[in-house]
Order: sequence, then C-alpha cells, then structure tokens
Amino acid sequence: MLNLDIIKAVYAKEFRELTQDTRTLFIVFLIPLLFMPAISLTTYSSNVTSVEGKQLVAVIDEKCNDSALTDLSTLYCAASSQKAEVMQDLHDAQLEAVLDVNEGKIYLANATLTSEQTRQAIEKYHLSTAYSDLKQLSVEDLDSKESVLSIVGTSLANVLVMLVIVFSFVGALNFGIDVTTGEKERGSFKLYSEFKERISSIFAGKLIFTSLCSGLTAVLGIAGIIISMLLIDTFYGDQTAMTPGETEKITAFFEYVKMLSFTDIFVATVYLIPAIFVVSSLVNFTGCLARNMKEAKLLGVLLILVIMALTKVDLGAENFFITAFIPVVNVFAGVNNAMTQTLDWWHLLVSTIVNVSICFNSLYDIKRLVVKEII
Amino acid sequence: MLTANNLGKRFKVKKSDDKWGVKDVNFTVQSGEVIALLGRNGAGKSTLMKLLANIILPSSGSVSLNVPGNSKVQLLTPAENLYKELSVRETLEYFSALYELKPADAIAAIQDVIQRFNLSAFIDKKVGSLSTGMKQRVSLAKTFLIDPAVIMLDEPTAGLDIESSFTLIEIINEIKSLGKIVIVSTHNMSEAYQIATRVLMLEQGSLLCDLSFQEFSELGDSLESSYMKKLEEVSC
Repeated sequence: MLNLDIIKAVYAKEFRELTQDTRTLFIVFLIPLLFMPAISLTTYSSNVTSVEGKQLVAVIDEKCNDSALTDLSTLYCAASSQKAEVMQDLHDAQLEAVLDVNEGKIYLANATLTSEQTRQAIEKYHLSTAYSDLKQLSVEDLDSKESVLSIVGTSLANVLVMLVIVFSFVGALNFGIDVTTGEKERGSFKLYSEFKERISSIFAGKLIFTSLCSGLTAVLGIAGIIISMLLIDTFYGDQTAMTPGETEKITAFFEYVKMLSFTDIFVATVYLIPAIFVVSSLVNFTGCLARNMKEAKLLGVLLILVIMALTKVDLGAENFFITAFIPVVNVFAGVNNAMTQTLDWWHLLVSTIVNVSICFNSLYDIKRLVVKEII
Repeated sequence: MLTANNLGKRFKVKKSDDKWGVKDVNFTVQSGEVIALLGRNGAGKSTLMKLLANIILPSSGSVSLNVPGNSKVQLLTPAENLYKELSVRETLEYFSALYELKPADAIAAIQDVIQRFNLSAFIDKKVGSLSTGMKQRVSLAKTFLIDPAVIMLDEPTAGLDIESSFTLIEIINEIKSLGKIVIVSTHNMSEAYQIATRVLMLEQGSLLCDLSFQEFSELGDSLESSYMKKLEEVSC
C-alpha cells in the first residue's frame, strides 16, 4: 500500500533539493519560456500548412476548364444545379472556398483562414477561363465557425498534445533522471536499503515530483508560445515583414482559443494529466534501469523516439475507440476528437484507466529494480 | 540480546551450483558488546550484516532480537551517501517521515538526537558543507531517530582520513556506553583494537571463530598474526 505521508515527505525533499539547484531551475524556467517557443512556432506553422494543403476549392462553372484544373489539383468543378450542395459543404468546412464563375463571386468559408495561396489559385483559374470578363471578383466571407474548428482545431489539438508531450519529456528528462540515476551516482540510492517495504511509496513521491515538474515545464512552454504569439501579433502584426499567411494563422489561433469552452479545456486537461504521468513514470523507470547518467539520457532519447513514432499512428475514424488502449495515441486521438467533433466519455475513461495502469505498473517494475539494485 | 540461529543465505549462480554467502552461523550478542567482524573480502561479512538488518531474507535459520520495546537492528548509512543539498534538520525530518514516526514523536526524536550528537550548532547547515566526522554524526543521528538496539557499521573508516577515523571511533565508543550492541565489519586491526570487546571471524560464509577480544589477541604476537593463524587453521 502507498503511504501518503512518505509520498509527501519524498515530494517535499525533492522540491527542497530542486530549489537549491539554480542550474536546473534556470533550465526549467528559461528553456520553455524562451527557447522552446521558437521551435514550437515553426511546428505549429508547418502543421497548419499541412492541413491547409488538404483543403478543397470548388468552382461552379458549366464549361469547366479541365487544363486549369489539372494545374490546380485542389480545384474541382460543379454544375450550377449543385450550388446548394457545394455551399453546404462550404458551411461545413468541407471546402475552403467556392468560386462562382457565373456570378463572379468568391465565397470563403472563413477569410481569416484562407491562405494567400488559395486566393491566388482561384484568381489564376478565373483568369485562365476563356469566357472570363476579367472584371474584379467580389468576395463574400461566410465566417464559418466550423471552418475554424476544422482547420485550426485539428492543428491545435495535435500540436497542443504534441507540445505537451515534448515539453513534459524535457521536464521529465531533467528531473526524472536526477531523482533516480542521479541518486544512484551520488550513492544516496543505498539509503533506501532499510526502507525496502516502502520503496513504492518513495518512488510514488518521486513520480509525483517528476510529473509536477514535467507539467510545469509543459505549462511554461505553452505559455511561452502564447506570449510569443501575442508579442508577434502586437509588434509585427501590421508590418510587411510578416506574410499575410503568418498573420492569418496567428489570428486564427486566437479566434480558436476564444471559441474553446470550459468543457474543451477540462477534457484536454483530463486527457493530458495522465499522459504527463505516463511520460514521467517511463522516464523514472528508465532512470532506475540505467547504470549512469549517460545511459539514462540515451534510454530517454530512445523512449522519446518510440513515443514520437506512436504519435504517427492513425487507425482511422472507424477504429477511434481502439486508440483508447494505446498509450500516447489515446491522448492524441481523444483530444483531437473532443476538440473537433464530440467528446466520447468512454474513450476518455478507458484512456485514463490505461494510462494510470501504466503508471502503477511502472511503480511495480521500479520497486523490483530498486530492491535488486540495493540488495 | 541478538541471536543468529543457523543463519544462512544461498545465492543463485548461473551455470553452476548455488553458492552459500553465509552458512550455519550461530552466535549470541549481549547489550553493550562491540563485535569486530573480521574476514577476507568476499568472506560474507556484508551479507551477514544485511541478514541481521533484515535487508535480505535468510535462506535458512533466523535472527532474533530480544530487547525491550520495538527497537531494531540498524545498518549505519555511509556518511557520503547522505543528501548534500539538505540541511541537517531537513535530513532528520525526511528520515523521521520514512521511519513513519508520528509528527509529535518525530519532533521529540529529532530534539533528542540533536542533543545526543551535539548537532545544535550545525542544525541549519547543509550536510554537504560539513566535515566527514560531522556527516558521520548526522548519519548516526538519523539512525538513532528510532533508537535502535543494534547498530552495524560496514567498514566505517574505509577511505577516511586519520582525524575522521578518530572521531568515528570516539562515536562508536559513545554508542557502546549507551548499552547498545555494535557490530563493526573491518579490515583495520587498529580500529578493532580500539573498539571491540569480541571478535567474530568469517571464512567462506562460515563462522571461523567467536572469541573475546582478549582471547583473540593472545593467539599471536600481534592482532595481524592472530588473524593469520586462524586463517591458516582453515587452510590446513
């Protein structure tokens, strides 16, 4: 059984040791706040771009210009009789834009999210049609919230989870290895020999400490990104140094954040907290497995590679529930689904049980390893 | 009174028969005795101490401690293994939590060991900033939080300078005066001479001799020759 007093004492002891170590504190606060945002902004940007690449633009044109369509693979033609269906797709964020050649009008799902590339593609098509009267096209913005949800939501759900996992790893590698392998190297691991019945409680305290530090690193990292975006938007938003696309992404990001409900944030948090514990427990486990810091860091890097590989697993919408049984993948799938479609409570429950079970299993394995080590 | 009754520990060895680290060890130690545990490297001294401290479970036999209260057998932590970033007070508070002392008992126990080991002047100093001798005192204070009946020290002066060794020997004699059983594993005959009242000598896991210090010292011209004489008896 876990002893709460021992868990609290171990947590307090690790916290006291941390506050004495200015170098680690520096890493904890400054890397996520200053260095990581730069990297994550790039990740966010590239992710949004990749989602944009999948957007479709429909052309309502009776005499479809096939050669122009071949050049611009994102365009497809529809007859005037299909306009109602096409417009519904636009509302539902299945399309990014619609060009009605007969009316000389462009309908945009959400002007904030329409990239410059898409606008150029539409104009190029318009100019390439022989029967175009070359007059200025009028633009109508539907300001579709579904579009924001679909485009930014999918990106943000994936990017947010990815960033939390990556930041947690950075935090866990700093703290999780120090409280395990670090103690081994400093010799204090042997102190636990007389407490072998309490090893699980001692390492539960270390796991909570590692997880809180990892969580703090993740929160600071996300805060760093938001601060970076606010600063960029404030100081460079109106300047030509930024491309319209970049400005739009930042605007879309804030528009999406405004749309997030308390439930969205609560669900994402409920998914992410056990994930942070999973990351921390795996790092603690590898820390106990390793003989020295070098080995521990190598194992940590291998672990993050495995986890990053897991993030690429896509079982498809029809197998969504199965993802609940796969650690890490369950968080990606769950948050994505909750933020862009509907929340599946059973998926959330099963994912949480799976992730918590992994933590307890890690504690059991850690106990075995430590007892073997100290005896 | 501490009693080892047919105490043995068998280790599994790959590709060969199991090996006995300690085999059929029998002895009884009374309160106030200081035992010097002698033997070659690998003779089974550390294994015997771990068995007595219940860190590992015996494969055969048993250990019994017959003292008033809930006192325990404690293996002294090497001073260099303590947490250097914690202050003396934080170290004592941390270990009182690990020993599962109730808050009121912990406060009383900490006050007691601070006085007993003269730590009041250093109570808020970081353990890492203390001298080796002072660290040994902190380590002992940590052990005395639960007032053990038996204290065991595994090669306590190994790697220590003369001053620190001298301080430690003084501390061991202080513990002896408190009526505790002290068991010290050592290769240092000078150290044994200064503290021991009795000698237990191990060879290949078995108890080779159990003599009072006086009897042991009379086996040869010096303590070293007494030791060699006992070893030669086995070789023959």
